[in-house]
Amino acid sequence: MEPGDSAILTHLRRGALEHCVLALLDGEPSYGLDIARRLGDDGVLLTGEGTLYPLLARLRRQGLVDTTWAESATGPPRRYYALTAGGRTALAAFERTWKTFRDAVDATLDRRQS
Amino acid sequence: MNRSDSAVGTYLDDLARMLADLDPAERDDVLAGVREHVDGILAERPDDPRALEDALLRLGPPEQVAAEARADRAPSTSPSAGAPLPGRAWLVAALALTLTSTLPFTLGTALMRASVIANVSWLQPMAPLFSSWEAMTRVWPLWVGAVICTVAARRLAPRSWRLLLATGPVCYASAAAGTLWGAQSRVWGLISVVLLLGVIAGTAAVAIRAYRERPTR
Repeated sequence: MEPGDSAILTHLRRGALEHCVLALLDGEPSYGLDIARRLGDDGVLLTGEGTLYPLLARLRRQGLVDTTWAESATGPPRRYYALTAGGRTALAAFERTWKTFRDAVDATLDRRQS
Repeated sequence: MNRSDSAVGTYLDDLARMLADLDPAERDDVLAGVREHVDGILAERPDDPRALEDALLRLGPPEQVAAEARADRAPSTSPSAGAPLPGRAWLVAALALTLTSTLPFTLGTALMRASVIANVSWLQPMAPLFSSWEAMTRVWPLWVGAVICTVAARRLAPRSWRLLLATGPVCYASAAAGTLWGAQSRVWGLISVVLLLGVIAGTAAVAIRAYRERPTR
């Protein structure tokens, strides 16, 4: 990643990252630390792991995820996040839109190289 | 243990301060999540002295977390956002014109009625000045000016400007009522005085309220 890339990435993340989080929760609930790890530590999707928490709070406020508390074997109780029906709908919509968008961007970039 | 608690505590205090303008429930949500995150890491690596440092590093600076929390606060889409408010002189002019075009004849009519009831004769020759239809029609340019300035200044008093516009017609109507019906009997005279005083007080209250409004946008 080059120095100027981070500003562009910030813009690209907006709107996409929250749906990636929804995608990670599709299937089974997960807790913050796990979600952060699965989003990767290459700095592409998530800059600092801390930024995940305002995002999760927002998703919760919007009714796209629900939270429950559960004991953990290794330490203190954890908050688990799970998709709601609304979250599932939002994820499906994003998947449709993202594919179209991604293909359009790729085609435009490829076209100019040929 | 003490050292790690204080490092986490400092981080969370800084973050809490930066999130001060957030909805309290959401702020608590974020802080709880971050604390849980760090506690989770420390629990997984209880013997690693660098675990805490590592965790705080990977969290990223509190400013970054706070920025993310604010990221969805889109700038206001209201059409007037960003445009500067009109000069306060418009509001002062609106209030001055409203009061000078409404108070003289409402006050005058009330005084006329009261003087008739109380048999105070020295005021009565002044009647034509204040309470005749001629007086009310004479002030119409002032009233038109008041309406123009009030509309121009509406963003300076968003909750009161319509009330301010209403004072004109209300004052005219009550002065007319006082002139027409107040003369019929003492009782009607008294009722019209009370009505007019109420309208005058209401007009003054609306003007004060409009003056005190200090919208920020």
